Amino acid sequence: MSIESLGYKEWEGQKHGRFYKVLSLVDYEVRHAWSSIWVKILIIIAWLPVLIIFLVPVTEISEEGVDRAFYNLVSFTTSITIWLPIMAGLIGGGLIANDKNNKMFSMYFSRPLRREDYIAGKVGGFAVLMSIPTIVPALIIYIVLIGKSDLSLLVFIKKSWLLGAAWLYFILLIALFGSLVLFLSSVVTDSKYAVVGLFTIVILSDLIANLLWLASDNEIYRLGSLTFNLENILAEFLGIDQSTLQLADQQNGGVGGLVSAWKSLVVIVGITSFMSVLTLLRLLSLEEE
Amino acid sequence: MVENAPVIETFRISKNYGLVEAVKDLTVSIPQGGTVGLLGPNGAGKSTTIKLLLGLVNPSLGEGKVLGMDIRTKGLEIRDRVGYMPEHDCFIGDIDAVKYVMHLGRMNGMSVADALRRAHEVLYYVGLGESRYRKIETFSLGMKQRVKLAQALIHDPELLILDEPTTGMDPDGRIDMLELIKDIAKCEDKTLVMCSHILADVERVCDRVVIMNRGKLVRTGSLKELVEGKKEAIILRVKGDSNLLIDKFEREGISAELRDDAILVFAGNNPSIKKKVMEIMAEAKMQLRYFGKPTASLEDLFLSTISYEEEAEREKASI
Repeated sequence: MSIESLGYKEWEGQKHGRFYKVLSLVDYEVRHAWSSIWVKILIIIAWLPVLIIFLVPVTEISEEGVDRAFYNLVSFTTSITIWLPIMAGLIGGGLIANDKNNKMFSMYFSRPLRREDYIAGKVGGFAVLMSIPTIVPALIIYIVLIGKSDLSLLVFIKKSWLLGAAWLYFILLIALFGSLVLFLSSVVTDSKYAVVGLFTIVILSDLIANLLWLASDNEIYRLGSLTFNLENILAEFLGIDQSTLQLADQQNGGVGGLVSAWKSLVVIVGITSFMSVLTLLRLLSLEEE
Repeated sequence: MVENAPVIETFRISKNYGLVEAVKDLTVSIPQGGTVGLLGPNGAGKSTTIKLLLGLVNPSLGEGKVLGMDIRTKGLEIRDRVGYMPEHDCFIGDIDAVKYVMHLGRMNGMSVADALRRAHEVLYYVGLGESRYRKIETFSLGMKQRVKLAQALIHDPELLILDEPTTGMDPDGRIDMLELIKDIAKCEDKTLVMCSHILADVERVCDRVVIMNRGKLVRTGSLKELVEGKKEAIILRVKGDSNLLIDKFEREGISAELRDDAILVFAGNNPSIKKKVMEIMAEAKMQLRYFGKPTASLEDLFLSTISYEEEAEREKASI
């Protein structure tokens, strides 16, 4: 026994319920991920459009040019789509894989912690971290636009659906990449493999779907591409003119036909639900390992 | 829990993994207070027993209670009042010991302030006061064992299950760890269950033992009684055929067995056994080379119990 020890001391205190444990896990995951320099760098990059909008004057925009002002929000939403898989891989890759690798399950599950609460804590941590470069800056961009422009508040209220649509799109994106990366993280013991797996899925789905589409001229194959579906949904959500996309498609040698965004939404929601169920089943079975 | 009720009570619990019977018909009762050694060779079913007691797996058959709570239905409540120190390393390497122990305290439902204060307290208690802000990945094996003990103590559990607590420790560290275990056991309301392969450690800190082999309970009781029972035996060395003499003993109703080059005669509480043994030997005209009491230790007890069980299993299989 150490010389400074005064013997074993008993402890009496209040213990909190399961919701508190989930929040504690979320808190821990956020703090732990934040200690990574790479996460910090990616979040700073994702926040660059917010910094730019602070510097660029938008006061001269007239009511007619209001869509141009809101273009900042739309372009931010579009650009973040590129960063999100990288962020998701970096943040989510190690969430479960590291616990498996460190054999932390025996530490967690020998405590009064339900498996569902563990999963909720991990998903919560992931969602909070992913909202930092998405939901929060979108809101800030919107507020900055209000603050810096001479437009009436009514215009902003009228256009607030754009912020809601951007948020909805981010939630969909976070759910999709979250379900994919958490499943991958639950089947590997090294987070690197989860990251590689996520990129492989994104790239391969795009490659195979486009090859099949080009070979058959059948638009339906495009639904196999994750990026196509996301672009399609984004265009629908933010009200981007689909004919420009169609034209660009034809210029790139495509047939120019467009698949309904709702079909893309069904595909993305389907993949997310399927992967979530798989992840849940996988994690519930981990107790026996 | 009812005053003086057993802390652990199982009735014929079994756990099967497919065709493998990890635990068979285990009936055991462990009273409150003191330290119990859970012994057995590899594959004896110790780890599965721990999982059953923690309510992590449900028994295939049988009933069990820990701290008066049903192991089938009250797993969470049991784990709330039990501290578990696993055998293998399970650390988040890139955080310091305080953060690690505090994080696990919060998983027990402790508030941030309570978990932080208690993490400092238990880390001091296990002798890591000076190193508590060091990253765990820089710790030696012995220090890691201490961190594992600290995390098991953070919520001040009533029952502490320690799986191989001295593994990988140097002799000084081992003694320190055993002293810590003895010190915790001094708290009247605490019961410790210690799994260990190091029988000397068990002998040093435990007052009861549960010996398991091939998933079954083979012996349980107070360590003192079991070892003293062993001391009631007589050890003989003779010139000639020892097996012949054992046959003669058994014909006269005296239990005896061959142990290395000697005969172990189980005397029990019979005071006239020595006389009877001498008479049989005289009748058999065997020259006596040694007559005395065996030096009984937990190791003797463990080895004789396990080998007896295995022999019985072999005999059963051959029939």
